[in-house]
Amino acid sequence: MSLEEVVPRSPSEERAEVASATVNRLGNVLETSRVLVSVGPGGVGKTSTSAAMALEAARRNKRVAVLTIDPARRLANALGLTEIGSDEKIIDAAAFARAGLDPPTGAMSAMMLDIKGMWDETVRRHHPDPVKRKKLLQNRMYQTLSTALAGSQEYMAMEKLHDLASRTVDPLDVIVLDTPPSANAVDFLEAPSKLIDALDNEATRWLTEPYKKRGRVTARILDAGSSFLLRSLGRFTGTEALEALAELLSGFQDMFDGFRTRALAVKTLLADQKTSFVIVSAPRPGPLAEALAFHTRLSEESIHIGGFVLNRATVDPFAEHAEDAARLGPAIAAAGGSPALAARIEGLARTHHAAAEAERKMAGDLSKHGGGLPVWMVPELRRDVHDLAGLDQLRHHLFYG
Amino acid sequence: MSSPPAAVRERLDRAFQVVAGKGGVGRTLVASAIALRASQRGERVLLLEVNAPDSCARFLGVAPAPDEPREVLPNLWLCRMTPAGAMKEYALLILRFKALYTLVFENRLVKYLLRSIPSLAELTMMGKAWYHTTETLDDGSPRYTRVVVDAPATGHAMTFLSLSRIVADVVPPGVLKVAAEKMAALIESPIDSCLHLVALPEEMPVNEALELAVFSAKKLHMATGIGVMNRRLVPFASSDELAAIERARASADPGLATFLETALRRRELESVQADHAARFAAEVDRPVVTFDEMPSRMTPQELTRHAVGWLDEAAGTNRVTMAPIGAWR
Repeated sequence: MSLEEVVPRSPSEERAEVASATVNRLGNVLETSRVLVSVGPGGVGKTSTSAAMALEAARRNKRVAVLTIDPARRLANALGLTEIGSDEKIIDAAAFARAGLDPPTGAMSAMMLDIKGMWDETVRRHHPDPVKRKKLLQNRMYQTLSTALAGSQEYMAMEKLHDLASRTVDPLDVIVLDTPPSANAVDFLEAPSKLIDALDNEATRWLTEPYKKRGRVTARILDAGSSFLLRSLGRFTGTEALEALAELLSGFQDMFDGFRTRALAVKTLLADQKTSFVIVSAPRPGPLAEALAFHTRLSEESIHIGGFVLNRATVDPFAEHAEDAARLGPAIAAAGGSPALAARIEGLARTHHAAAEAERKMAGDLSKHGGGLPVWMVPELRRDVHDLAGLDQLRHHLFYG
Repeated sequence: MSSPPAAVRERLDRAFQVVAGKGGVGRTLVASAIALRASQRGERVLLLEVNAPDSCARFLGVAPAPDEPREVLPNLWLCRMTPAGAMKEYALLILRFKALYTLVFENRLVKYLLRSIPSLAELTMMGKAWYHTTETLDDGSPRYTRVVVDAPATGHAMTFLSLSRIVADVVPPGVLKVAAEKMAALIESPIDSCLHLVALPEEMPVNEALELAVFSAKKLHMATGIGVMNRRLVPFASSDELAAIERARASADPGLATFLETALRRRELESVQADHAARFAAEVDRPVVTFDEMPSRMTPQELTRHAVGWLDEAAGTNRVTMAPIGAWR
């Protein structure tokens, strides 16, 4: 059912429903979770929301790390992430002081996922055969194409989450994972199995089999003895390309067990009672439909969802002061403005009011169709969130708005 | 910030034009408008959309795009590229026989294997785009004088455009390398190709467009197209009017203030947009064309018509009057 198809209700009923849905419980979610995962479509402020949740955790005296994928440059700078690399950066008291804020009592660190670096690290740490490991790292196809493997980003995000969650030195109280913008939840949840499947399946084994049989460097898989299928395929890709691919795939061969074990561990972690997903979206039809699809899919996996965050909600000038609109004309006239200007301002206010009404209705429907989960609406902020002060403001709206 | 019309005009006349930018910034609107404008000026235009069903069709007001080029408006062909469709076409081109294709490519193992190869989908789609630039009519003239590609969002667009060079360099000699070389040569052609970049006056969209600009110059070596700053708010009030609003705000009670704040917030949003637009114009390395924010009730098709007008204005060209879009089948 689309979000627009709803039974008409009076505005006051809608407001009451949304108000009950917005009773602030994001703090409770934070208190009861060790891992917070924000998911949702791209361009809805997912990274800022993740960072703001981490900041609130730090303000509640927790040790927290936020793992981001691709933050906006200025936001990254605000988090102390000046260059690509998966290193953890602590945001120190001085940075908060510079932003005119009290430093949190806990500790907040941030890190940015570097996919290529993570691939190398995973191969280095988990490839059991030193010779094959070195060869794989030097393989040109690996170097240029590993990051393009389907599900690579999501898989590496989960590897890193696994690392952080199982860390025994400086253990973390809370980990916030900002996921890559996926078209849908399936992309994210199934990425690890998709990646493993892409590397190790009946078909890749079939390709690498003759290659393995005939040894390494001098192997030519496409000789007279190879199957008709492989030879035809070779005409399509070029035989050498197929051989390079076989070499690449067989390089991964010994890592599959490890891939599977860790993917399974992450799956368990994601389904854990102390893991909560927060679905971040915006109060517009497209992103809301996606948010609902995320909800459906995550529920199927029995994953615990804390609620929905809707960023950039329109501020409604008519919410409390509708009757004051009539005084706009005289006030503008007294200040030297024309009646046309007053009319334009009122028109603008009416446009915003209509938008805000529609958004409230959509939020109500989202909660209704989304298993009655709370919906936290964050008003459109005056400036982009790109520094600690902005982040703190967003945090305030999220948890105390 | 105004751009020399000749620079805009010349870039809109390239044979192979790619429109890229962050998801949701209006790439499809820009690609549709560029294609429509060229077709109205007598060019034979092919508009290719990458794996995004129906979007160009909505902006042109025509039926959804098929997998094969179809003339949807006079001189304007539309085609939607899918990985599977592009792969099949490429395979048929090389294997030549449908029966052989079916035998090999419909094979379960082969299908599976091809899906595993990283970025093969992007490569074959680029291959299809390239192929259409080389097609000729019976008299030897090009079948399409303009090919416009509505590229996928940033990350995928980078893969889509850079892959042919990577494959040409990385893969050992063979069929694939030869094909990749040809595609790379098209992308790198300073005369035939160009990359248009689209952004909204917001931080992330501008960042991604600028990243693409750097990537294009340093890695792709693709010629610059135009930059489009989409959905720019038209100023709400003059500076005198703003001063009046500020004065009224200074003595307003809370009820009245709410309404005046609405206007002031709008003004603030305009100035934030101005900052982002200025950064875009300064760094995107392309002549910038501005598209105004239009009322939300406007249909995609009406929007495209306005966009063609903005392109004409920026290029200093006269609007070609045509029958209304959608009147022709």
